[in-house]
This record gives sequence, structure tokens and C-alpha cells, in this order.
Amino acid sequence: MLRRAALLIPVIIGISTLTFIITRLVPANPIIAFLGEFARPAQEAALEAKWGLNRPLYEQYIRYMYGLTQGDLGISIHTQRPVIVDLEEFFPATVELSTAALLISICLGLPMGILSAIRRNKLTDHVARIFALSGVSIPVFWLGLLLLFVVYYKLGGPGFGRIDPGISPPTRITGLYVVDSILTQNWQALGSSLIHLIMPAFVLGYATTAVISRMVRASMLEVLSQDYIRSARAHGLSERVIIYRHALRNAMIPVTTVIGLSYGSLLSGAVLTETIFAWPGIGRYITDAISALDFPAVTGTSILIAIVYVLANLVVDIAYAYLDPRIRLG
Amino acid sequence: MKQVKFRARAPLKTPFAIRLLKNRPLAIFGVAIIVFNILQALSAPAISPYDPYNMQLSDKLRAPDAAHIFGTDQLGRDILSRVIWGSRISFEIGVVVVALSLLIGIPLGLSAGYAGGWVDEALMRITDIFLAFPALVLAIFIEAAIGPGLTNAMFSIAIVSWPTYARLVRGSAMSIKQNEFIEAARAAGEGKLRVIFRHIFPNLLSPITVQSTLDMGGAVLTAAGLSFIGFGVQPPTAEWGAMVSAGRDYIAFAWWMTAFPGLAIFLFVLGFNLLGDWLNDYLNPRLRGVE
Repeated sequence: MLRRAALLIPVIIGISTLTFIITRLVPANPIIAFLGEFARPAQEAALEAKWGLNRPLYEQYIRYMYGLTQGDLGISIHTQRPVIVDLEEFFPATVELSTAALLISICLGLPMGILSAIRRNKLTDHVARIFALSGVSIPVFWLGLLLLFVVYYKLGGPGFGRIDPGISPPTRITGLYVVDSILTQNWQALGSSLIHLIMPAFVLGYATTAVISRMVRASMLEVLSQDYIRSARAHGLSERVIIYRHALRNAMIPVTTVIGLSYGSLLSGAVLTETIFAWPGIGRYITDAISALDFPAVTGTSILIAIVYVLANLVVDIAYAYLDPRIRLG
Repeated sequence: MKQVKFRARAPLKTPFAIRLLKNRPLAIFGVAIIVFNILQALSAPAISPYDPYNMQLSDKLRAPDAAHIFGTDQLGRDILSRVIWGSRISFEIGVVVVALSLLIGIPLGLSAGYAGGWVDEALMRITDIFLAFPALVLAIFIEAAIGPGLTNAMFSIAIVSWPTYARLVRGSAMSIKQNEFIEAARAAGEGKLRVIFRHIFPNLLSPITVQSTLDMGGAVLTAAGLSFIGFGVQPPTAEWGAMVSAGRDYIAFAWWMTAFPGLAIFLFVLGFNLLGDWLNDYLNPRLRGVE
């Protein structure tokens, strides 16, 4: 297990290096982006020196990598604050949204996949499969806009942001509004943040719901065709026991992988979802940063997302070994 | 010597392709969507009722009616015509992105899988790094660095997609390499390249076909996402994602600007996903027999 964790280090170094290369080898000039086209050369030079952009590339790289080990991601150009402070502020919103999305997709995807497998090629199966295929085909931003149109503009329901503008957010403890409201027993804030969470979380989670339900279906079908299931049937066990006790447990192994890996893609999907619902998370932060050619902010956010992604993979690997004793971590 | 007569098989009543799709309503639906899109893209100049770029400000934001079935946008352009022309761009994106990813992914995957050792190790660590980024974030990142536009969008999506192919090809090549027929070919003195191209590569075609089909849709979806947040194809190009993006500001009172181009993306991607799903079942012999 330690060895697996140690393997993360080169990947993280690689990620940081790749982001560094992309940001530094590009034609776009952050100084012009910051000062505008008509800046005086003296201003440009001063800024260049301040950001260290006039140093040789290898020196910039070493300073940047050294900074990373100190948790220093640089100063954001457009917010003028340390990137790490920005991320601390915006990351919880994204975590809350992605976690809610994952929960929704597990609650919907799991039963749908099981039903689909048991009623294979029946109407239930077809409906579930169309629902699932739609999930991976539908543009997240389109679904979001349509729901906004119906729920917010037509029905007057909740729309943008994490909480009703008239209600003050709960005292910050974790940064997750739902958790903080419960901790501070602020029920009004809890209600409002839950209502605001549902629609974006569903939009974000739909694709994952689809992926989970397809995986559950395929995995269940494979398990159900195994010899031991036939033996269980021959023993006269009830279909219920066979499916829930014997099949589902084994079918869950690959499903765990998918659920873990989904967390990373949820963070990625959050970029679009947050833009639509004005959700103040890192997805919106990174799009704003990219438009402003704010390299430190873009790099910092990308590294954060990539690290979460890689950590999710690690958790999956560990869970895998736990669920399936045949797999031993080397 | 008596000649052995082979009895011909039962005469084919239906063409092969249709027989394959029999009892597969979802696959038929997928193929139908794709065919529809191909026809629409090919005949765009003939069937689109208006010039997709012609602005008629007096007609702006018109709700769908007999003259403009899908309504008009904020500049008075006919949305139906723009949706029809948009299918050309979507095919361009899908084909170019998949082709580029294959061009990078297949050779790298083959060399990693066949050579093994440090070549494999190095290439796989590189794909690890690429796969560690959520696809859209990396694509936005590259796109932001090299600047927006259709060509750059296709390039950034390809940069994000090739590792999947490299992985896929490498994994399959490694397992095929273990087969006896490869050993036999080597023992017969066939060269490395010949073994790779004559014996390994043909066995990789099914997984590659499935993945490419799914990616045709995936590429269009990612490109639409890029355009939506303003990094991909730029206005006034009639690209579906950019059209949805333009409609966003008018969503409260002109839903048709968003609804129809988005529906076009959805159906395009759904078509390729339905086909890919069926191809996967069909080309995967392990699943074919299961009923």
C-alpha cells in the first residue's frame, strides 16, 4: 500500500511539470492580458520582474516546483490573492456539489442497473438503457439551461447560487453549506442550501448515473451467468437471495471502480455546471482564470483537480483489494 | 474422384447489415440518427431554407412558426438552417479528433505493448499524467494556451483523447502477444514489423472500432462544451455548442435558441453511443453468446 502511495509522487511531479510547460510555452502573454494592449514598456518590465517571468525558464521551473513543496501556488493575477487562499475558499463549494452529485447518481444508478439486469431485454431494461445512454450523450450545459428555464423562469423555483440571496450562509466551519448548517443548527440555511443543491447536483450527476447503471447491469449479467449462480439456483435458493446475497456482492467489485473514478470526472464536469448555475466553486474559478490568462490560478487549480483525481484512483485500488481478496496490493 | 457438392446456405432473405441489426431496436435507432445526420450534412446547401449566416435584424428572436420552424436567433438568423449546417462541423470535429488520436495512440500503444520493458514503462507513465487530468479541464487549458478556434479545439481534444487509445492498444497488444500464433509467426522468421502489422494489429481492430465510435460522439460533446464556455469554435460559425452558448443570455424569453442546437448535439452523440454500444456487444465474443 505504501508502494502504491509512493507511486503518486512521480505522477504529481509529472502533472506539475506538464502544467508548467503548457503555461510557459504558449504564445499568449499574461502581462498584456493584465495590463491591456496599451501598457507602457516600463510597466511591463516591472510586472515581468515582479512575477519572475524575466528569469531563465529552468530557474522559473525550479522556483515553481520548490514553491509547490511549500504549498505555495503563487499569486493569482486576477484576484491578486495567493492561489491557495482562493482554492480554500472555492474548493468546498465544488466538493459539496460533486459529492451530492455522486450520491444522487449512486442512489439512482444502482437500482436502475440491477433492475435492468434482472429484466434483461424487457421493457424496463430498454427504458433504463435509453435513460442511461441519454445520460452519457446529453450536453451537461444544455440540460442545465433547460432545467433552469423550466424550474427557475417558468416555475419560480430555485436557480442560481448556493443559497437564497435573502438568507445568510451558515458560519463557515467546513465550507460545505449543508454540513455547516447542520453543525450550527441553522435550519433555514440548511433548507435553502439543500434546495439550491438538488438541481445542479442532478445535472452534474446524470452522466455518472448513466455510467454506474450501465456498469451495474453489465457486471450483474456477467455474474448471473456464472456456474455458482446456477448451483445456487439448483439448490433451490430464492431468486431474491441469489440476486442480493450472491450476485450483487460480486457484481459490486467493478462498480466500485467506476464510482471512484467518477469522482474525478464529476470535478471536471463541475466546470460547465458551475458556469451555468453561478456556483462559486473551482470550476468557475478556473474558467475565469483561463479567460484572464491567469497562469498561477490555472496551474494551481489544475494541479488540485489532478491530485484529487489521482487520490480517488488510489482509494479505488485499496477498496478493490478489500472487496476482492484475490487481489493483493504489491 | 467424386466431386463433393457443398450445399449452399439458406438463401439470404435480408441484406447482411440489416440481419445484424435485427431485434436491436436501439441499434437501429442509432444508425438511423447517424444516417440522418450524414444526409443532413451532405445536402445542407440544398435543404437549408435560409443562408445560415444571413442576418435579418427585423426578424430577430422570432419564436418558431411556419416561416422559421426552429425560430430565429438574436441576429435574426434562421436556427433550422444553422442547425443543419452545424452537422457538417460536428462531423469534421468527430472525424479529425478521432483520426488524430488514433494516429498518436495506436503507434505508441503498439510499441509499448509489443516492446514491453522500459519503453512500456515510460510511455505508460506519460499516459498516466495525461489521464490524471479530467479531460475537459486539460482541453480548456490547452485551448486557452494556444487560443480559441475550430482547429485549435480539435487539436486540444485530440491531445486529451489519445492516451485512451494508447492504453487500449497496449493492453490488447500485450495479451495478443502471448498467443501461440504470434510465437509461430516469430519462429517462422517473420520480422517484428510484419508480426505487429500482420498478426497483432488486425486483432486490435474491434476494440479500436468500438472506442472510435464512442469517441465520435465524445469529441463532439467536448467540443460543444469548449464552445459553450467560449474557448472553442468562435461566432459566427454555426457550431451547435456555440449556438447554445449564445442562447444562454436569452434563455428566459427565447428558449428555442438553446433548445434546438442542444437537441442536435444530444441526438448526434446519442446516435454514435447507441451504435458503439451495440458494436461492443457484437464484436465482443464473450458477450455475444450470452442471452
